[in-house]
Amino acid sequence: MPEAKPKLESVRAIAELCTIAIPILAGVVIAYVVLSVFIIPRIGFPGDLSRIVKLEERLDSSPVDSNRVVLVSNSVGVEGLEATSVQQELDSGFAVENQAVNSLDLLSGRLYIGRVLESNPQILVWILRPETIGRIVPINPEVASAMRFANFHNQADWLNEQSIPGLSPEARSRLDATDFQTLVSLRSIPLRHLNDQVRVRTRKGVLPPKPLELNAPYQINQDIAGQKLQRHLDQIAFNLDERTKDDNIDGIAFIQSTIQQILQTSTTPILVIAPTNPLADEAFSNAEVAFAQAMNEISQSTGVVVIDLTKTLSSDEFADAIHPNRGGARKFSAILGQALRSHFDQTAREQN
Amino acid sequence: MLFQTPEFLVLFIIVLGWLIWNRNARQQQLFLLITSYIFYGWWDARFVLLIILSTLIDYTAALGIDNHRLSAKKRIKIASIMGLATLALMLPNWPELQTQGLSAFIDNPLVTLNTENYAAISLGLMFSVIGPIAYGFYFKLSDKGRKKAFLITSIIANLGMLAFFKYFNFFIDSIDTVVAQSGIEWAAPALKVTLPVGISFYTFQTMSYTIDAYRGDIKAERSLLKVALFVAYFPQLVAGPILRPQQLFPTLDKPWTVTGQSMRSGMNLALVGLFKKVLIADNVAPMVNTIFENPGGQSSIVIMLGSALFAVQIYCDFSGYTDIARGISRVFGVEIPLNFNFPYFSTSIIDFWRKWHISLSSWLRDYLYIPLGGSRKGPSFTYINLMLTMLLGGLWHGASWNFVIWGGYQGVLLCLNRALQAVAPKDTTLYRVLHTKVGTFFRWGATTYLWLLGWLIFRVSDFNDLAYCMQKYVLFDGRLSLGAIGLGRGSPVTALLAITLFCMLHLVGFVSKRWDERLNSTPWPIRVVIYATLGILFFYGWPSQSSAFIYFQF
Repeated sequence: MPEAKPKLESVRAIAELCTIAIPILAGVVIAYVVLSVFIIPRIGFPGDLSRIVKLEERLDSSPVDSNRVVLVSNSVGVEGLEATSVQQELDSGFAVENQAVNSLDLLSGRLYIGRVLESNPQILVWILRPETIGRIVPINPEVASAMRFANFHNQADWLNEQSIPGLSPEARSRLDATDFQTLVSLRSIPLRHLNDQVRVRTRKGVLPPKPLELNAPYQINQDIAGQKLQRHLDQIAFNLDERTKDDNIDGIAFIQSTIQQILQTSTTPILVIAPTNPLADEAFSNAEVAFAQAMNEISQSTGVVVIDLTKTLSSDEFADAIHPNRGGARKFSAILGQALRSHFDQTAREQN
Repeated sequence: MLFQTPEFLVLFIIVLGWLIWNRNARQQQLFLLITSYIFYGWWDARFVLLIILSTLIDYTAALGIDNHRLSAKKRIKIASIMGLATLALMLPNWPELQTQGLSAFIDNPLVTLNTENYAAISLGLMFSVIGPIAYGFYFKLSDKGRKKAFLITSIIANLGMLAFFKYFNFFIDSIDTVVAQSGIEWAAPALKVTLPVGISFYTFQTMSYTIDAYRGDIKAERSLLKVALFVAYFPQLVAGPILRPQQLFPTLDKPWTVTGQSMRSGMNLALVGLFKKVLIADNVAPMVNTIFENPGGQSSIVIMLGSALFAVQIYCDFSGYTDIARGISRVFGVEIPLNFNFPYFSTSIIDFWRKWHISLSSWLRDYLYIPLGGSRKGPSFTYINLMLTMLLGGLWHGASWNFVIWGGYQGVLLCLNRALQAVAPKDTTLYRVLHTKVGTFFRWGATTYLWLLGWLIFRVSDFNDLAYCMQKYVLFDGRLSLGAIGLGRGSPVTALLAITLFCMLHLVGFVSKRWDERLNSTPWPIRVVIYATLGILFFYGWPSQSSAFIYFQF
């Protein structure tokens, strides 16, 4: 029967396809189960993601005090701020928390601040660097998934698309994803975790991340110098060029709209311009002027206080091109504390 | 549409289902053609017009060369197809539909006509009107004249499309740079042309059809459907292998049959390709980007490592694509020829080019190098022909001067290799020494060093960065620190794991059996375990964002 042979071959073909597809699908299912049942509960999240995911725990453990001052920043704040040193300059009525997290940029920062504001701090100090006025960098998809994992998606107002220009459809879909989709999108965690472990064990100058640390979540343990430092300075200059080429300065409007969002809550925002390494002056001089002008504009349009600490540290007080070392952190924190105290004293006098 | 996306999986299953269910050759071919156009149009529906134009030109040209005069009815049919395709693909707002979605398309269903649209519509309609007239005129020429006229029309049309869409911006920018430096004032045209995906591949493929018809190597195909499918066959459409007519047309004379054997063999080959692309190439890519994003200041060892990583990335990316294309086609019962034959184990540059991107190198040999004279006119002309061929081969890769430099570099290496072969023929001591085990290892090492330098030229497009990288590659600076890579940036551990896995598997594959062949002959219980392991590896190693294949940009 000539017709039977092609039909038999078709059946064989489908059977072969099943022999291949079903085990692959089974492997995927096994991998998902291992990820959700063993890997994430036991290993947790790597590096930067862990500090995002543990934000709720840190907020829950922070002092119940009406005068909470929360410091929000990227790695400049992780390395360069000591909450206790800031608090020493303020009076005893304040409780300072360092909620900085590595790689926090304007977009991710907007969502992160939204989450922090749910705990109703009195003051939110947002530390920014010159390149933030440039092109808005998209949220890293894994950061978006980590935020979803940490239930950031519950902040309905903050996720309103009109208020977050530049939020890509992919990031949005990750923030709106189901639990299953979120876990699948975080599937590279084992490899990232391995990468972090190797990094911590092989580089003397790097400490393990401390996701629950409210004071000084340092990770850099050693200053770099010579060619390594020059390499970092070149990289920062390159990043600045990339972000601000073609006069692309979307960041100003974004910072402005974020401040306006914060002003609608009971929290008082304060903007701080982070210190710049004097060795990077050549690359940053124009950017610093533009940044200071932009902050001035934002201050005038929103009434927010801007504290300019650009020139407060010497090159010896930096671990690399942008991050203060221990000595620099103490000094920066003390100066910030003094600046905040002056501002609070002045505000009190004006009110009286 | 990328191979490693859910939409392609859906397309593949639909095509597979059709081929299994439908045993009629013509209906199979029509369905394959429609799905191929959908596959290609997924990037931008307007690009399909170029494929249709190329197909119709070469279909009529080959028939004309073969002295087969199309009836008036058929000519009107072809002109109508071109006219309708032009209007259907250029008037509706496909860009809006494909980027913004259905609601945006409903709000604005027709495109706002601009210069580009007018140009495209004019060209399409011009072909519909002028084409039949020119066709009739060519048949009034002598036999030789007619053949040449059709051939020249085909070559000019295909190369013209390629030149305009691929090289217009490049030439304008280059002229702009030269003019600016000379101080002359001129306003560069503001036209920025979009590069259609895979245009370099399918234009070469269609040209081989008319050239082979001209040479008498094949008889022109009477069926427009078969020619259209030859041009647009989706597995190899956007990044090769560049097929020859003799490799596909014979398979279209009978229905394609999906068998158990073809399914197993084809799927195993596609899985190997997917492994290379997704688990190796895509995980190495971030590391390569970290190194070459701003290479100034990097040490020699980092530059060399970057070159080696890029070598693995481009091989796994491109050969991975080819394996997926060949695997899918093999499932359908059609064999596409090998495009890579372990090129990184080559012991000479000539050997390398016999094993790397075989379909392109053989195309350049058959349609450029040999017609130029090849090696038949003495050593000097051989070297000139080699250089011309490789310079144009480099330019084919991309509209950028570093590709031209890369082509020139490969040409120089080929010339030197030939010269060495002339100096050390088989009966000399030097030849015998170079072919001992130590000599072979030395030749492999030297060849590897040279093609790694070539990959540096290929990867780094900025001249200042390229000059820096080449200097660091050739003159080792003695700095052994890899700290510049920045552990923690770009996940180097993942990249190093991928590299290690690649080196081990590639060596085993070269020394014993290709991995897809090994899988084919493995007993099914062990294969089940291997497939499940692949499922686990794909889950953890699949990058969060699908990246296009490197050769799509060519």
